[in-house]
Amino acid sequence: MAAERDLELLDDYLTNRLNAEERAQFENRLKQDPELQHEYSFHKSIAEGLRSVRKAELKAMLNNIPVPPIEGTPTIVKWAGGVTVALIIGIGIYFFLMPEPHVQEAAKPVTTPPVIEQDETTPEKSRPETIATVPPTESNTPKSAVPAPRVTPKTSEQPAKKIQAYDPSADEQGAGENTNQPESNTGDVTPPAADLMVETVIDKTYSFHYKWKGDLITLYGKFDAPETFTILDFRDEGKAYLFYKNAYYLMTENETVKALSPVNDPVLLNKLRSKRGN
Amino acid sequence: MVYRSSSNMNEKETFERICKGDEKALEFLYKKYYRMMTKMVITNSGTEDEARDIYQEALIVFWQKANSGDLVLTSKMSTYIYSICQNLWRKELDRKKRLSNEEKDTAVSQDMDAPERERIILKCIEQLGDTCKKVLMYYYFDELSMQDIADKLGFANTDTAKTKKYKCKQKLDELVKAQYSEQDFLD
Repeated sequence: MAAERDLELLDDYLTNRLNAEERAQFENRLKQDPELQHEYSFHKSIAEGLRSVRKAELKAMLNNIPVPPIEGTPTIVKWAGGVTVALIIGIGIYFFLMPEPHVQEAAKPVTTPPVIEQDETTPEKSRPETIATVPPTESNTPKSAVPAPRVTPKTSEQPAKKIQAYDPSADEQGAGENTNQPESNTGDVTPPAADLMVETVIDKTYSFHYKWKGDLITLYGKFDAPETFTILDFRDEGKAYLFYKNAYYLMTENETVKALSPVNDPVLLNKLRSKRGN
Repeated sequence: MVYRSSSNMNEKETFERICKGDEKALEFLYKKYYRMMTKMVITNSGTEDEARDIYQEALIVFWQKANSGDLVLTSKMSTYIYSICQNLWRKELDRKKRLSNEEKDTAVSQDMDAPERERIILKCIEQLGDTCKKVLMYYYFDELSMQDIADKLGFANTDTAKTKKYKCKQKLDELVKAQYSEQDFLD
């Protein structure tokens, strides 16, 4: 059993926390001390295990984020689910040709990080809990928990040196043509004038309600973690939609608290789905 | 408390939040450059799945570097991430080429017990409490500073974070050792 100090040193070595000199010293000792080598390989494999679990967790989190279809798949194809073919063709053509350009500008899926007011913790403190809400699909399967062979978690990429005079932000502009992602057009400098902000409030009087005043939407009820819902901004039509747990809810600007009721109109649902980039 | 939506974070703010291990900022970045990065792989004979995979790998490399504090950004984040994507994709193409040339991978595991040891470790990690797991993952993978770990998990100070990390690691070591000795892996 290595001394406590050595264990600390091992950990610092394994996580690149030593400076060059300390590192060299440690590596020297490692060469000459079989017992330390033994400890080292034990702790190294544990560190690798932790890394692969964390990596799988991050990947699962990224996989859970809705993204726009990569290729220019016509949105019409995406609408197919659950609606009869005739209906699809009808409304498909209608939406494809008619309101699309208009909605394209207006629809702005905004993911907002609201915080429950009653919560004593600071946003930093509550954040780790939100990680836990990500379904751990990947981290549960041993296969994907193991890092892909071609990239170890500690890949030491030094891309800066290899960059040619290429500015992907030029691409970034072009990528914006087909997408409803607001980011690709706004760039980094000009923030949109007024984003909708969302807060959640627990109030015994209301179970699943909302209030919308100005730029602020207040959701009443026990909502799950912020990343589980999305606001679709249709303010130029005087409304917005809340997407939560696979359902959409219409919201109109209103200073009184109103109940949230789900959207059932299949045409509208399809429109919302395609806006959300599903 | 009300928070501004993350849809208009600027470059500097995003990077600062990433450096502190803010997953929301990572999500934001992921969405923002999704098309741009995946397009590179797809136009270079990759599939959509490969493109997503490479982009995620690249973003995680970036995340880890930024978290551990050894990344000084001299270009835009997108330029940096793009070049990681390029490198990873180049490597993947090389690997594919090698595979088809040699027909099959001839890698023979030196240590027959290695997969079993790995399985044991993963199992033991799952047995840890949530906070322990997070402290250790943030320390070993994200390589966050003790201060950032304390901030993220709401510990009073870095000393608490250090003690927590030490105790959690000790617990994990014990769990693994107990399993190893059950399987006769200990020398």
